[in-house]
Amino acid sequence: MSGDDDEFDQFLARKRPLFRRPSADEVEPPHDVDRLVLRQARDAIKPSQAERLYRGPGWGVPLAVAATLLVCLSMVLHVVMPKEAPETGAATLQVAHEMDAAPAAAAAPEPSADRFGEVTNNSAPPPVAARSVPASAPAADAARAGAPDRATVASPAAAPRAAGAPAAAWRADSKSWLAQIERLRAEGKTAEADAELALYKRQHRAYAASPDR
Amino acid sequence: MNTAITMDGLTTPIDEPRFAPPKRARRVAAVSDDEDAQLMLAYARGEMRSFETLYARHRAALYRYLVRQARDTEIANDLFQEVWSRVIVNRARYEPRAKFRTFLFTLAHNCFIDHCRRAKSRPQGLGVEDADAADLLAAGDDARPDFELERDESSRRYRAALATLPPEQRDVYLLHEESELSLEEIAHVTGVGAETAKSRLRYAVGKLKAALAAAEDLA
Repeated sequence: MSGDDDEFDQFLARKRPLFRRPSADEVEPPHDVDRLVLRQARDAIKPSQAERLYRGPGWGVPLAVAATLLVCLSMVLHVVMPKEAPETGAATLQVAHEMDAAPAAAAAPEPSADRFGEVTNNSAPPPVAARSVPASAPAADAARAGAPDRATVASPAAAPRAAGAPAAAWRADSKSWLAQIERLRAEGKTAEADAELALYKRQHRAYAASPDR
Repeated sequence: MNTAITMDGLTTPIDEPRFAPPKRARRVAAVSDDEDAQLMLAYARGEMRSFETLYARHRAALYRYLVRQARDTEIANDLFQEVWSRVIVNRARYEPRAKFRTFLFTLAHNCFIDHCRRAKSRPQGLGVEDADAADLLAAGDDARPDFELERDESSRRYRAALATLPPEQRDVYLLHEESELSLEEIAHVTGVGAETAKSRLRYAVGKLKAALAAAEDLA
């Protein structure tokens, strides 16, 4: 009996079979059954695969949605809201006209000035509203006192004008400024004329490079 | 090359099975059960590839267990699908407290017990060994090589001897042979003590040995 026990113990330990098992005993599940099982397994995890498409942090989705909405809103406002650019362009064109009209303004009669920075009593400073109108059109002088000009209001020269108005009234507008420079040259004050021209160019260059452009 | 239409409408070659059958399943080096558990957990996380690996490892052994238990391929196919269906459904609740193989064969054992309870009121169909014997008679022996006949005869005797075992002994023996579980694990699966399982296995092996020897003497 101990021989049987040893034999059985070896069988339990899978060291030695007690009898020969036929090789034809190896049966396999049909391929159709394989496909059914695998299909069921695949279908079972399909929803969880859809959930795992986004693997980022939990706050990522709300942040992305908010950012998208913000960009869309900005684009809509950019398209729908009226633009200020045409007015700015008009102001630029106005300044260009002023520079073109400068020689003509030099030929036109101007109020006399005793010295640089001082205006005579009978020549009142030109009205602010008339600064941007070309000086070569005499008929436009009457309109200078009329409706205010938007380009003049938008001119960046307004700030230095407000600061130094009593010192140099002709700097209030381009035409008067250029006329003053010509006048200084005619009087032989070349150094003052050059300094004034340099200041004029500096201010107008700053204007050309300003963010409003 | 022959092809078959799958349920997905795709054609797949019949000559190239998706899972290469092991030459001798019980001699294949046992894979790490921890690895099986990790595969199951990976499948629960949604990795289909892990399930395919797990399925390829255990399908043949599980199927053999069910075929020998049910003694009917149709019933075995149904039970096989039911077992894997339970694995799939319970994937989220799976915890690697025991070997995956133990978990799988516990499901298989319970499925077969449920089937027996359901089938008590129904007449039994033709068994596998009866069907095999009928096929052998119908085909005739003249057209088949001798080694095939001998192999089939040996297989038929083995299945016939297995069929003579009491269900409890056959269950323990098949679990030992097909699942490669230890005695303690077999006892856990069948819900009996380890000594009871060992006793049943000893009786089963003794009866099988005697039945096969007697059959060979008769042949």
